[in-house]
Amino acid sequence: MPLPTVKDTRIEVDMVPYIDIITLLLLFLVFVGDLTQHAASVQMQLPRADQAKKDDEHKEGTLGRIVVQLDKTRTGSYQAVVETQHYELANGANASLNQYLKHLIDTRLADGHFTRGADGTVAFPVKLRIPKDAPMYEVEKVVATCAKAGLVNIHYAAEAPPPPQKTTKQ
Amino acid sequence: MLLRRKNMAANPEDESGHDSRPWVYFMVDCFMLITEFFVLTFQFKTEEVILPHKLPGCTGIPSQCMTESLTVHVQHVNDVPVYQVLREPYDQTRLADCFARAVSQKKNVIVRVSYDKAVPWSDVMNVFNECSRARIQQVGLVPTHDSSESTH
Repeated sequence: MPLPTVKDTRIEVDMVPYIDIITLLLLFLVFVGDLTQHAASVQMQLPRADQAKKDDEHKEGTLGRIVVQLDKTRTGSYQAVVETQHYELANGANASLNQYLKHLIDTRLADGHFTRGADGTVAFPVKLRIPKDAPMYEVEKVVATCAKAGLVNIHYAAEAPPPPQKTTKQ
Repeated sequence: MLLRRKNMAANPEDESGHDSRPWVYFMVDCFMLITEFFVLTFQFKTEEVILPHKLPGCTGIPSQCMTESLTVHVQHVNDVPVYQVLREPYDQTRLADCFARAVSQKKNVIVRVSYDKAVPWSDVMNVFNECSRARIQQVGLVPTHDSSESTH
């Protein structure tokens, strides 16, 4: 009696569901993830304000908004961070920061969405992310720089108050 | 993956479906790298809350300058913020009442906040918060002078 021959069977991995799952995972990460790291790149504890609301709850838009952050250095001094660039603060007289803000403003004005007002101010907002323990003599340098550049529409970033705790009736 | 490619190269006559389409492996590799990148850099969207205000600036037009200006001086005494309005010390609750009164009397109120140099930002932010509660839009800072500790 002849021995049964072992048939050479190849195991094939079906790649189609694998690619489907990876695609779904990618889509999830892209939609839910925050790619705008530069907008909140400086880790800080913001001051708490119960009147602060999310962007979409305010009537004012966020189109063209510039984000300026205040970062504490190792030496204890503060630097302004716009996008990924660090700038020394010099009482509103820092030429490089002023020039960079001016460049950003000019770019946005050139887009045609905004115009400069008669008093030299521009309508689009600037968001200030300032740590809650930053001393005011450093904060005023940032505000003065913004005001000097014509940015008067300021959005102060804050921490939302904790949600009210539910009380159980006895 | 590399082994498969070698096998694939060694057996060009292989009849399996995937080996006849070697580009699938490169695509999967790329997919894996992209996914790895997204997984490693992933961070949930955190929507920060904001307090919108406008810095007061006099345009030189008289009608716009004729608004009530309220100056609040912020001090930090014994780890407690003290708000002085017309040299009278207020706490945050009284400050809120003061703003509410001012708004009920006048339509346009501008708040100017002065402060001691070392006052933390959170104390001044409380004034901005109370201004938002009273629907005062224009809030500005009175800059300190290096020569003096306080503007008052």
